[in-house]
Amino acid sequence: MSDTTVENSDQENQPQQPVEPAAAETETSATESASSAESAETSPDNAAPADASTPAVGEAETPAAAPIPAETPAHDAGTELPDSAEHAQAELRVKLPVFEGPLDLLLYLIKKDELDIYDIPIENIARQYLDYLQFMKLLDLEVAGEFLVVASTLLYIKSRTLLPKDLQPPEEDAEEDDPRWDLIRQLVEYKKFKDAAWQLHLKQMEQGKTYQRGTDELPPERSEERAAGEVGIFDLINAFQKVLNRVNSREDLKEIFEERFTVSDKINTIRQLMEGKERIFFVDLFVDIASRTEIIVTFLALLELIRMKFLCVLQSEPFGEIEIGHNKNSAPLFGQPITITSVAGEGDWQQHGNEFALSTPAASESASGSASETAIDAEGEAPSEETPESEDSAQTEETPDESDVASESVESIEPSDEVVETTPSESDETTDSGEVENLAQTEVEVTEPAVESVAESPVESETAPVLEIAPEPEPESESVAELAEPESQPETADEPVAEEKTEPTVEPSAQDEEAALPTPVETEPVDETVASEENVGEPILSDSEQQEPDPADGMHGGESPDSAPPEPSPEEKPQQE
Amino acid sequence: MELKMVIEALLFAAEKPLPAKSIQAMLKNAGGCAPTPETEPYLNLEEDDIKTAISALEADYQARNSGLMVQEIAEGYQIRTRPEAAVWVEQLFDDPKAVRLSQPAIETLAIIAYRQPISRADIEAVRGVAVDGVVATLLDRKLIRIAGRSEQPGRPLLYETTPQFLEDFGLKNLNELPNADELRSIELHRPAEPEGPKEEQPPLFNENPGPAPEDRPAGQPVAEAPQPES
Repeated sequence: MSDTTVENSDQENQPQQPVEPAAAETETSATESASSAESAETSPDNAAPADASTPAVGEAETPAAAPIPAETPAHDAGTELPDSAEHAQAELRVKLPVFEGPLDLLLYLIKKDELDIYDIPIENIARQYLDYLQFMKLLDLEVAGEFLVVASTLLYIKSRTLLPKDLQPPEEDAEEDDPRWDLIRQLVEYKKFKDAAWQLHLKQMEQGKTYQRGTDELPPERSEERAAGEVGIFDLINAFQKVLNRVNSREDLKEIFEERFTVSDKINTIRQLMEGKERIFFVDLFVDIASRTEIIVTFLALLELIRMKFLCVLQSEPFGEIEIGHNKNSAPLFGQPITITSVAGEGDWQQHGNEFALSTPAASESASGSASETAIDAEGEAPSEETPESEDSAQTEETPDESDVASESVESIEPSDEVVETTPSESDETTDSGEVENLAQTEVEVTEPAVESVAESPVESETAPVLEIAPEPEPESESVAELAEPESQPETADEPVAEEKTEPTVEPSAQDEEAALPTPVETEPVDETVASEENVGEPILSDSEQQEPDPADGMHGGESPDSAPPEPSPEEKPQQE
Repeated sequence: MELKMVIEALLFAAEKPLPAKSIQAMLKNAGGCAPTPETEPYLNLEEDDIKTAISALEADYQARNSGLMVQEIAEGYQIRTRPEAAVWVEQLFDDPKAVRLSQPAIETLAIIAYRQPISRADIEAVRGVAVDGVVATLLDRKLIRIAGRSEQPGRPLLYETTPQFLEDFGLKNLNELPNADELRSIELHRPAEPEGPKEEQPPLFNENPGPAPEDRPAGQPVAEAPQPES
């Protein structure tokens, strides 16, 4: 019963002051009964004064309360006390105010007796306060620690005042002689805020009567959407860290290569990946990326695209896969493929090779194709969707050569080939693998241009190599052919567009031939150098080569890059740069 | 288009109270391109011009007994329904009583409002009760927010009120809090603190930095305490 009554009496919303007089009366009566009980039990000494004081108060305020204590002469035993308390409640249907804290209670007591807050009769208040605590216990209320703290403070003050002035111990940092001052100050302070709170409450009630345009319900909806779908920068960083960690495990090359990745390149790559797709997974961006640098650049590109509001990142559920989608507002901008017209001169293409490759639609196709291929399988399973177009357009004749070359080179250079041309090169390789060797330098050279044309997306080529290279172990004899291929690869990587392919292929082929003619060995070194120049992706390739092929291959690979620079380097370098 | 019409449109379409400064900026950037004869006159208005126009708009509303009014609130202006229409309008919204704050919550909110930024320990020192749950509630309701960390030992979090608080309580700004001058300058009681640099707080609004009247308890007339109920 007691509990329920207490709960009922909860006056949450109502500030303390408005408590009804009835409640006050009942309270006093309750405290009286409690006090009497308590006095009987605990302190016979205090009992007399306490009884005297409290009844006086109660009578003064509420005559009605007087009879109650009379009804329950609790002096007998403690067991009766609860009964009396319940009795009182039952009869009077007491509404016991619940106080927010000891200060609240003290304020209430002071106000009830109309006491001067600056001159509290400490004995009286302490008595009533303790009575109230006692009553709370009777009601099985849990008395919070704060109440006890104030109770002890009251008792301390009271005990101090009992001593003669000259015997009172000096109080530390007491500004006043009056020991009550600390408590009083706290009370006053609290009262001020309490009153202010009441004012605020009134203000709120008042303001609650006016309404703004019915947008109140919109914000929550939005926030819900965001909660479900929006991805914060830290989510992105986490995902990014995962990708990085994955790469760290496989990146063991120590060679330092020229940085070829640029954010703008990667932006194009991402755009190509996104083309025609509603969404892609964040992880898909990095599927075939081998190097830390490239990952970082790709990530930067992603951030840039988000910043420019071309893309948005979504997460369907907490900890779910992060997806990348088009930002609806700017979708048109993003969706427009950038076409680059073919460049007539070699020099142009070499110089701008990277840019072209990235920007051209053909490149995008190849990139998307290659990406998908790489995702599925590193090896050139992908039919010739991309390759046919680019290669065919460029040079039909070259394609076979390329394939041969690719097959030969696949081991050593595959990365580049695969990336761009993966499907064609691989297929060619499989079919023509025998021929590839025969093709030797000249063919290789021819293939190079084709490869270049194919390899529109440097990123992919780079990424792809890693995966493919590892799986394919080719004979050492092919190494020469491979060497030749590497050359072609760099070119391919540099040269993006299909349109360019035709011209570039021819020119490059000539150049390659020249380079190749001197000696296969030279070509090899050149290739490697080129590869090394190309980027991070290549390093992986070289690693893979070195690692997998083992001593012999590794030797070749290692030698070739060092020695090779002469012919190919001039051509390729300008391109890269 | 008359200026007050433009402003009325802005205020109506805005979801949040619009500060005069924002209105000024929007007038200036109208269309984002070259000024047209339409926007030209409003490109370089002073804030006072805008406030005048807003007053005129409000006067219009009153003149024709509109159900709407322009209220200055939360450092801005907003078009709201008149309180007299509450009986009808309230049916549009979910139980408005659920929005009310409990007494502990409103007390805590008051302490924060007057003493922001303030740490939880300081709130508790005033109220004499733990306020964890209440603070969480207020944070939930977006009436307060975390303002940073105190330099005190343990670097406790500091809390301050939000614009939402001003909106909910119909305040133009913090200076409009009832009895703001006095309550903001009270020296808070900090029990456990030996001799720290106390309350250099009232940085923004302390208009009467002199000692608070409460400093002298004994000398004070008793009758002081204002009764909130009345």
